[in-house]
Amino acid sequence: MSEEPNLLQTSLTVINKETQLMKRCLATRGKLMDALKHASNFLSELRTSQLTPKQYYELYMATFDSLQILATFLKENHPRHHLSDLYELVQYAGNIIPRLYLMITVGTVYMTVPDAPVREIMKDMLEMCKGVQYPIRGLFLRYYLIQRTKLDLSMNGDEIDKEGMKFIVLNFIEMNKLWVRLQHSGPSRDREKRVQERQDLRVLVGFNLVRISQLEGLTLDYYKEEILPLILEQVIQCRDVLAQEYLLDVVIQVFPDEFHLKTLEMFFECLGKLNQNNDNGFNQVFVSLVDRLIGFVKREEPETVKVLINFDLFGRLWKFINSIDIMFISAKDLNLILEAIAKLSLTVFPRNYSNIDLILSYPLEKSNDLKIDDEQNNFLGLLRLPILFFKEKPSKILKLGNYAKLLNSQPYKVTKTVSLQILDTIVSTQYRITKMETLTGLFELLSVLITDKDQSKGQNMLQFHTEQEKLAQISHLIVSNKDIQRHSKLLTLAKTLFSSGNIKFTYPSLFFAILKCIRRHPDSTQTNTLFKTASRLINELYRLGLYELSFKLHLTAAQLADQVHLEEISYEFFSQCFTIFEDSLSDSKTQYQSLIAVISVLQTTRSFSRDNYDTLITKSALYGSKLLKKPDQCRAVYLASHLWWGVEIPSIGEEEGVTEFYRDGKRVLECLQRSLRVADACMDSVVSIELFVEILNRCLYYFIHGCEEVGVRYINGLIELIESNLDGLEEDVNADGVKSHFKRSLTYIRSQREIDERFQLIKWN
Amino acid sequence: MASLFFSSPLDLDITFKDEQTRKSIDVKSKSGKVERLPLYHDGESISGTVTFRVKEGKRVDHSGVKIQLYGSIETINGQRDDFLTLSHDLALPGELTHSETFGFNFKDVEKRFETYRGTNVVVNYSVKVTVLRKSADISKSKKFAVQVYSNPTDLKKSIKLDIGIENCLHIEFEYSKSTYSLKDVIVGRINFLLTRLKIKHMEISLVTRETVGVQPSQLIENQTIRYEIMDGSPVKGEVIPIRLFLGGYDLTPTVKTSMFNVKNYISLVIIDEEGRRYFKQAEIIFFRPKDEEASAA
Repeated sequence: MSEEPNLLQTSLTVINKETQLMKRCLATRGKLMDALKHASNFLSELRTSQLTPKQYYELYMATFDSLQILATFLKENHPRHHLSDLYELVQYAGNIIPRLYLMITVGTVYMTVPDAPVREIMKDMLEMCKGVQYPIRGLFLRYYLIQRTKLDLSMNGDEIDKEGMKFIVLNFIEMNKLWVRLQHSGPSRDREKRVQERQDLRVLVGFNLVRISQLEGLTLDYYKEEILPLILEQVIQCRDVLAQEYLLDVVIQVFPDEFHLKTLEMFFECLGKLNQNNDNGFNQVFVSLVDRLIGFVKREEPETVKVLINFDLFGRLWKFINSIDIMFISAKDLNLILEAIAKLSLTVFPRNYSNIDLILSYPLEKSNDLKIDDEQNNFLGLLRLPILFFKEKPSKILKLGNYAKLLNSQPYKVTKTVSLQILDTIVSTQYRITKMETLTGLFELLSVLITDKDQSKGQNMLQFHTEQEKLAQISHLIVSNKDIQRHSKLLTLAKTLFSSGNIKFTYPSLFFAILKCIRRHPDSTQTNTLFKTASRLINELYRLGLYELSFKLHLTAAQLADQVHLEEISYEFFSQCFTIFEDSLSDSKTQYQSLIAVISVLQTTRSFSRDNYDTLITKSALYGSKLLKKPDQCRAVYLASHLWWGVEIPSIGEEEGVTEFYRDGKRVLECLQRSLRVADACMDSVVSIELFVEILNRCLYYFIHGCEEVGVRYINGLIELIESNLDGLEEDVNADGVKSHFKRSLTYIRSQREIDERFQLIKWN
Repeated sequence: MASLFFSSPLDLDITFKDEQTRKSIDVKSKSGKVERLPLYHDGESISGTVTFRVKEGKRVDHSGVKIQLYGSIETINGQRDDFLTLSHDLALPGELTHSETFGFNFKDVEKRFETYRGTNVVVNYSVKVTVLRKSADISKSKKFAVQVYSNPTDLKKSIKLDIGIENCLHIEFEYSKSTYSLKDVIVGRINFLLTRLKIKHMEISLVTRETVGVQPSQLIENQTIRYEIMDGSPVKGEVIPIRLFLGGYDLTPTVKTSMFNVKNYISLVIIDEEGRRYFKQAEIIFFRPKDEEASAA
């Protein structure tokens, strides 16, 4: 290995030396023969077999520059040294490599002079190059041939131009043979090395195609009739994976898009005949071809696109796909191909859903022959494509009848990935769902998420929650502004659709969506139905053991029902609350909190008849007095007192002194007295006093609001009671909080004296 | 040459007709010596003049003056065959007292062979003038060159051959003709029908074989021109072109005489990567084409 650079260096030195000698001879009259001799000498360096392709390329470049000097001289000295004579003369060189390089050098210069037999020279050079069968040397020699042949300059007239193209194609064929053959020379253990060498050499082969594509006279007809068939035939015949992949890609990249469009069938036919081990290259080729066509469509004017439609581009591509032997292709590859054609169809014919649907049906039909797994062999790519294209309006996916079928035939992971993407699109674009079939359709696409296993306790908890949260957001995307009836139906449908899944996460948001709908159209005929749906929904949650949640939802529903003046419904919801309270809420803290919530809601209700209201509030107070802990009892009762003392809700236009409120001072006082008794019964005197102070504050509230039953005498008594109880606790640090609370209360009374003279009657020691 | 006859009382000088304007050629011997000689063709008359210059105050008695034309083959081992001997008398016996010029003319002489300078044999033509005397004769000779032209009619006959090594190599090759003029081009092709051999390269050898005498004392000499026609190893189905311009080489037309012959062979040689050589040889006829005569005249 270490000797190779030296070999290269030695050769370069020789080339340099002989080039100098050649230049000197060219500068001397009558020494052309010697000059040619020196050229032959440096060209002999190209006979080496010891160098890698890259090193050989260095040699080649060095000789190329030297031969350029010679070529310039020959051109300038014609016809004194007639090129036709020289063409024969250089052929006396005994070794074939120098001989052919010289011959090409002379021949290509000869072609550029007027009246030269261009065709004959081309044909002859091409024929003679067959003498070099050693792959690397042959490739470079023929590369030289193409590099030197200035077709553009010498070719005049259509006919000759075509000859020139044919000439390059034939050269290409020979070069490809040599290139492929390189793979099979030498011992098989060097296989990898040779693959690398061939990669290094491939541009030499591809250069032929580049040259053809650069020729101005290349017409579609000629390309189709004469050039492409030859190229493709060679591609097929060489049966070499590397060559097939590379060459087809070059063809796709270098020739114009219009040409590809008009030669699709030829291309496809070729693809079908490729080496069967070459499925990878096959896809790549197909995909890059289709990409090329897509790019074409994007660049071109709409008129062109119309042409494509008439041209039945899709139909032709589809015909090809159907000709693929499914036995030789993996799901992964099929996915790539279908994805490419789907992309094309979506780009060119965005409204043609049947195309895409047809594509989607293909893997379904072939599913028996395909191995599908969640690693690679699946149709993830194909399924994702429409989401991307329809992101403005995800419901367009639903026009693809086979989409859901294909989606749900995929492995769990794949389906989930796709469903999540759909969900993300819907949520992030805030897509409005206004139709029943859209809703059903989208839910079908999301079914894997809806029925996903509850993982709220596993390690994937966070992710699961995120997914379910997004799913829940869908409820709020269901709208139908004008048609309440449809909106109602949509919501009911959503409930049915969600019911098979993790309703714990999805129902609450649906519930609020229903309430939102009711609030928006309070007087509609659908309100009853909607409340019923809401009720059923809560009951289902209740059956899952979600008592607290059900309680809260009932309460919320009750509040709304009251606000929309549906007394009976509201009453029903309240009674549900109480039922749950009685049957299912066992934790004392929860009980207390729930009761407080009921009280606060009840206090704002306005639609109840006196009787119903009395029933409900009495019940509340009763539950309060039955709470387990004394402080809870006490507080619940004094809070319940407010139920007998309605106050204004300014937002609905109530006003103190104008509106008539439900007020019963006697019952208020009873409540307060009852709570006082409970407070007094507390064992911990600090707690007792604290509760006393709280009751005092309640009394002051009623005093201010003009509840005559709670009078000065009662307040003064209470203050006295607190003071006397505090006496015993002077040194107790635990009572500091109570003391300051009491103090602040007294300060408040003092401050109120200035505003309200009734306060002056409240006195203490 | 003149010094050779320094002591001679008589200077002889042979001049061919139109010698200054006649075409002459360089005849190269194998040792590298080059002579420039006037050129004659088969059947052409050889005429000219002989000038006798008698030295001042001298007289030369003679018993006749003769002019002779020789065509001879001489081998390295001393054999000689004068295949052509012609003689004319230029003067009857008498006395030469002053310089005198005689014309001579050998009419329509048949010259069967070409002038040839081989390794072991030469073919020479010369004109010799001899002054017969009682004492030593005085003579002088002068060489001329002969080229024989022909225009064979069976030019089109091609040579087709094949080489086969079982399960290893099978090639067919073809040369367009078996008979070539010296300015011709050998064109042909090699068709590889089977090739499992790792071929390094392939070449054409042109062998010129000079054979002198007969067995067992035969002398054989080969001259070879090698010409590479293929580099590397082709695959089955490849057709490799052969093209070899002959005009630039110094070749000898095929000739056959009783004493020697010159034959030409074309040989296809394949050298494999281990250095083994495989070859197939075929005789080809070289001739000097007639159209050359026209340009020579």
